[in-house]
Amino acid sequence: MSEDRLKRRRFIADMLFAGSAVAGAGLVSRWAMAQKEPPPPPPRPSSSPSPEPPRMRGEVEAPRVKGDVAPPHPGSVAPPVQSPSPVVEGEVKAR
Amino acid sequence: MRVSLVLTHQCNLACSYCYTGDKFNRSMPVELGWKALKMAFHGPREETVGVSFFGGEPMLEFKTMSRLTRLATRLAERQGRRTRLAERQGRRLELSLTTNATILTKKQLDFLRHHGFWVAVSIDGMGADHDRHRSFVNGRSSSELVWRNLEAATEELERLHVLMVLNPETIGGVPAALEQMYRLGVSRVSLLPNMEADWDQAARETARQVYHDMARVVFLSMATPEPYHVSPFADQHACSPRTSHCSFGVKDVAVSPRGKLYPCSRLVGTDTRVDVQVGTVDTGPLLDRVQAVTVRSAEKMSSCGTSGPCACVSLMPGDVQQQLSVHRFFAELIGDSVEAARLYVEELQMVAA
Repeated sequence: MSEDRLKRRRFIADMLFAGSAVAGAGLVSRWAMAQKEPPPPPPRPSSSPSPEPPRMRGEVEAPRVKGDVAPPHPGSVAPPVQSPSPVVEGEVKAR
Repeated sequence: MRVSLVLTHQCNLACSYCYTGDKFNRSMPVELGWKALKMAFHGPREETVGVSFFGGEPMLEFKTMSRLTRLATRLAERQGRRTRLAERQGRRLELSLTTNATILTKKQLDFLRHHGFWVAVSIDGMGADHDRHRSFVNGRSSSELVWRNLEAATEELERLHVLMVLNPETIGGVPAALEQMYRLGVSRVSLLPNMEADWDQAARETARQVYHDMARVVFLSMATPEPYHVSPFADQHACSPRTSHCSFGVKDVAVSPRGKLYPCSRLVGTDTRVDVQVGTVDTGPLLDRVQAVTVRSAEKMSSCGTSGPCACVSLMPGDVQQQLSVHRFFAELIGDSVEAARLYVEELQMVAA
């Protein structure tokens, strides 16, 4: 098993075995969101001046709630709304 | 056919609950193992052949095991069963080993990985919990060595499975052991309550708490990219692969070191129980004997109002009624804890959505 995978397991284990509903909710929402979201952008170079702080054991990520979005920049313009193209019977929708 | 080859009655551990009876120096000759393999490969070519190595401690007979493994592989090749084996260790020849993990060198792990073995390792808990029932024959602790070997096995083997026997005085330590195994990279564990132990009220309460907590952990893990397949909980989850059932003497046969056939490896014991023998490697399983043993098992189980556990349970030595009563307790507990865990995770998922 690769070191990356082991790290991921340790992270999951912290939440799985914490035993609290908050940890459980954090775990479920994290992977539920991960399945819905597009693939993450490529990782920042290691020389990034502002790396994310390391997560400590037992520290739980707050569950993300649908609709919880960043506020728009002042003066930004909303993109035009496009109506979805009709789905033809038998057509397979790409994920 | 799936054959379980009991390579030896000898073992280097002295597990207090061991059901295989007295240990003595009798091992399976390669020639006899070869006959058993030919019996296993006798069926239709599209049928999967399973060969598992059991004991005593089968790794004490690693030389015999490696020879029989090579012979089984060659038989599979000759019968054209190799095709899928080459693709992904195949489904046509499934090799497995049940070991106490005290004898696992790098070379042996390489061998097991090379042949695509499913390796089942027996560990009852951490430190003192493990040693309480699984010390060496001279009384020395085995836990440190076993956990070290487990770690090495997780690095070398993809097909690894831990068997944990639960006892009243050690069940409280199960969550910690399961957590440590998960962190090491173990993905499959089977919890096996000792049916002969005295599960008093206090022990049952502890078991209830542990089962509810662990069912929740297992069901939560199924929502992550690193699922934890802990039986019996994972078996009830929709994402778990269905396991095939034991066919008890018809397609599943255990072979003793003397070449006697039993419908299950749990019934081999000291190889003296003629009443549960169903043939020899020369005759193959005799269907009338298999039927007689199956009927006897069913009668014993129906007398206590259950038909749930494996057929072998009612034929094991000891107080059958007590064992079946413990079985009933755990069967109900599994149902309750799985149902609670399912609801818990469903609710969390609804909120997350």
